[in-house]
Amino acid sequence: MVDPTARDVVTARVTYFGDVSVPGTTHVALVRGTYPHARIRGIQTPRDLPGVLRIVTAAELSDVDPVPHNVDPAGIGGQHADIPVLANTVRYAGQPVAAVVAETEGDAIAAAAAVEVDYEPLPFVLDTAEALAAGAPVLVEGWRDNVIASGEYLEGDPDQVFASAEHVLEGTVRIQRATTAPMETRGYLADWDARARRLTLWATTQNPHQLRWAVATALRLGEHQIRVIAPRAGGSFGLKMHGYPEEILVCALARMVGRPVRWVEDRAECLLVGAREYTATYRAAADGDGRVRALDVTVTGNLGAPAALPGWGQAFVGTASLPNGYRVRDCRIRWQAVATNKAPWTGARGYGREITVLAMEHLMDRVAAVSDVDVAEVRRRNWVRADEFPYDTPTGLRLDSGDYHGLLERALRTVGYGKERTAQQEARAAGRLVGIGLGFEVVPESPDLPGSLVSGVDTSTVRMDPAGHVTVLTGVTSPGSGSDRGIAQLVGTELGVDPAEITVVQGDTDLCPYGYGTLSSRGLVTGGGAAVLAARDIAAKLCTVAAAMLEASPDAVTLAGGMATVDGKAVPLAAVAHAVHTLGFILALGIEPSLEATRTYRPGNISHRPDAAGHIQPFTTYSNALHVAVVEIDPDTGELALRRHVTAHDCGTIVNEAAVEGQLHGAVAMGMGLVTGEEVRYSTDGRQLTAGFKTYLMPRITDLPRIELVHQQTPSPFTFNGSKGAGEVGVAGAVAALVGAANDAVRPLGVRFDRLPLSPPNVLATLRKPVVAL
Amino acid sequence: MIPHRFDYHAPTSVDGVVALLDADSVVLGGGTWVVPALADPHHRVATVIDLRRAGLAGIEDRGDHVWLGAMATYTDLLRTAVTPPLLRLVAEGVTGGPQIQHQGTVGGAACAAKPTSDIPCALLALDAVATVLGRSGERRIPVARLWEAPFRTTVAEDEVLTGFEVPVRRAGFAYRKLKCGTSSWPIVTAAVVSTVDDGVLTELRVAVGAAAAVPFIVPAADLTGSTPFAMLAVELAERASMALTDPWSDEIAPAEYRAAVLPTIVRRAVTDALEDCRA
Repeated sequence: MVDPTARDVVTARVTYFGDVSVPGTTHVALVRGTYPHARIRGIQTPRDLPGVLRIVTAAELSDVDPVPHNVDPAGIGGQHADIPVLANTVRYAGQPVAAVVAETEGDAIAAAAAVEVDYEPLPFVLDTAEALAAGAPVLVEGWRDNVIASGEYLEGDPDQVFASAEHVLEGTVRIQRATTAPMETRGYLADWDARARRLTLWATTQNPHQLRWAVATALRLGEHQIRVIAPRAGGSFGLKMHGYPEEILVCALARMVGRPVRWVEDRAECLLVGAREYTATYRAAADGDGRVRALDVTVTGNLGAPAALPGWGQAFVGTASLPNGYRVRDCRIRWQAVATNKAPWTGARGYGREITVLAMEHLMDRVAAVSDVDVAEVRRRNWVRADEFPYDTPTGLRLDSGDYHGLLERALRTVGYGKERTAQQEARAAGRLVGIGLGFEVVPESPDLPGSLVSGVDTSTVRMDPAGHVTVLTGVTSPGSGSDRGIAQLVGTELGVDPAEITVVQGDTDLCPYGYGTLSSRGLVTGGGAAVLAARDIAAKLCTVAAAMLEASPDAVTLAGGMATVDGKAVPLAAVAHAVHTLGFILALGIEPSLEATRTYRPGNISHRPDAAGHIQPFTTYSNALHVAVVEIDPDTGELALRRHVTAHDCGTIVNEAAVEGQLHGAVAMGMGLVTGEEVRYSTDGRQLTAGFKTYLMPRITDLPRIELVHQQTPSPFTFNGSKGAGEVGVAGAVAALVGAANDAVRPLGVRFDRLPLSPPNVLATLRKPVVAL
Repeated sequence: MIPHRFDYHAPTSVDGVVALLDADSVVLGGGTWVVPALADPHHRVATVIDLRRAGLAGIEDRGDHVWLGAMATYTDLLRTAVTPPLLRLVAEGVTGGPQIQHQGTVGGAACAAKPTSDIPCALLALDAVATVLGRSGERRIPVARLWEAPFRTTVAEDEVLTGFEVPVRRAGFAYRKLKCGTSSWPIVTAAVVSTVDDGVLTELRVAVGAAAAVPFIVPAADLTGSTPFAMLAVELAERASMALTDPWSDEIAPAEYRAAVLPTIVRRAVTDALEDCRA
């Protein structure tokens, strides 16, 4: 089967945002703040510049409300901030303060550069220690401190266990500021129809209905007055969730100038949007036999300036995932999302697990070392066993299913663990720094956060026209992940139709059922589940009518290969569909004579009733993976060569193996990039230095080893077909495995890596540092 | 997106180029550096003078030297038989892959005078001579005097670089480049030209690029006439470190790192070149 989406992408038949063209479109460029923290005293707008229609500052947006929060931290006891569309006080260098609307993109950019802003610089903070220090400038008026939100999980009596433990290990791991960096940046094109009082917004968005709500709220319109269209995405990774000033701004400007208005983010602007920068400190208590008895972890995220984006939730979700599938019951786990004067975060693939998985695997490797147990064996001794699922974690989550030990055996077999260890011994004897590392990750997926538009359910419509063609309309979107084709496959199976012949429509709020788009690997389980229910409704009608046509019992009819068949007699589904529409009073008397069904799927496992400790269980599934990495370090240059990477992956029942593997390759590569050098840097005066791909060094294919995948399928008991989320797993485990392998490589030198990235300068600096204890 | 309007010319002769040069003009070679720079709205030029039709693309064997036209691309270097082998090594490994190989030019890379670049170091090792044309005529500039400071050459505002004369040698060559991954600009490079006749070292030129603001030569004149001794590569590595007084620093590699890895890169390049002499 040729995947129709893939065919259309490679033959340039899909419509990306950049392909959308509306006559009369004007273009926007933004004036962005140049100080990390400053009050604006005045803005001088130049006159008579070529092509300029309007220059807009905050003062002209008095009828526009603040950017609605994607998930307001105040909802879980955090602090609320109003996020202006254009700022009077900038809280990060790069914050939009004015907008130019012009006839061409070039005119707009030139005019924006000519706008002069008079700033009164204010004290600023760039790292979390500064932001949390007594006497630090509080960034938002009325806030008690610079903590956006924080939380703590306490179970058992960790302090008592620590007091009597055989080994207590302490450490700190850090992940640098990094971001999503999709090939296609963000873009918005808004067209206000003054006659119909209706706005059409073409947007690079993962969540069209939620964006519609945000725009309606800020512009004081009804949601029915707005149509959001999300063209095919050129990558997303979390960047394209709503909560940006530009989303609201472009719509407000379209209404203001009475012409279509378009803004496209440039690469430097795209790199402003952060996604990670964490510190995790840990203490672990362990027995002499390598069993971890207690855990104390604190995760601190440097979130940058307060925003309406969902980035802050990553520190929360990351820590909720602890202790990462290990059976540790005495835990104190804390997190804090701290505001600073860097640019804000969005949520990104990995969603905080990268830091907690790194912390957990870092300490597991150290427990193995002090207990003199192999790194694979230490994990075997600590994991939740396959017969213990569903398993309730100390953080209140319910792990749906899994066989972590099975995953490990598959990975070790695939990599040839014994052979690799022997080869490592030989390399070490020759003075080479070769290391092998393991990284395990359990990734909560498909959340439902009460009170927000982050939902664990979704809705799909299935239609069969009188000629038998099937169209599926879903509330979920595909950021390139392939959920559309997976859903086509599921519907095709139910209806006995070739999936390649099924049209899937996503990302249009006027066409599709109300839905929640894409985040947290939710598309297939939610949108697919709904499509299966709807397809079953259609299938039942087809069977009823086909039975009438074939003079048989509906129960005996099977749908396959585009035919309805019973006892060797068959009729094409197209004929059955035609009969439903044309012979309804003869053949379809027992049913409603239409072939259209809309259903909503609500998976199991989610529980919003707080447990004894007050925690809720907001996630549907828990995919997991075990990575084995083999690396070599050049002791003279600090270069880290990735030699092999095996990933054993379990996302429950696989619907489309190629799509799952494509997602996994991408996620693992993203984790590798975090380790090898993706980094957004700031100058000490608070300006972002990283403005392009010559300084934000993403790995290229030549930097990566072949990613060797092996699947295990442990179905979820809580989803319609046992499938779990796929797409997000891979980032965190790859990071942990590579750091573990690098540490294994340099163990003979008595040094240890605890700070990413492992770029050649950082590696060499560590190699030349004094020796540390185990 | 280039925001400002400008006049564009593509003269069909070098004289036509020279006639247009002034303080508000910019010369366009392959454009891989100039075009992105023009996207900065604070950078404004009145005239863009495109060399594509000026007849500067050739690579020719002229007996005692090879002539490299300023507009010769990396792909031209790879596809021309008379290309000096060292430049072939450089062109193969240029950051950016085939797209940059097809587009980027030797003259453009030289004129950009980026500290973290391949071509300057290689031309220095080859002892090339740049030819420039201005209203007052032609000048020949040995490349040791071409790069003055980061992003600045000694080519005057009213002059255009037309090409390079690269002396022809029967020698061993090596080029080593350290990068922070495939997409990274060079961190430290070393280009080596060495000749060994009857067991005697008759020529040794070691140039270092990307480690400092401009490429430099590692002093080695006193070693010619000697037998290549076992520790030669280590000796040159030490001399390279001594010669590096003010290491370059940028967002992806600090000065300390460049200084730390320089001896390794030089040692490896010299070892490769001596190996190439034997081969």
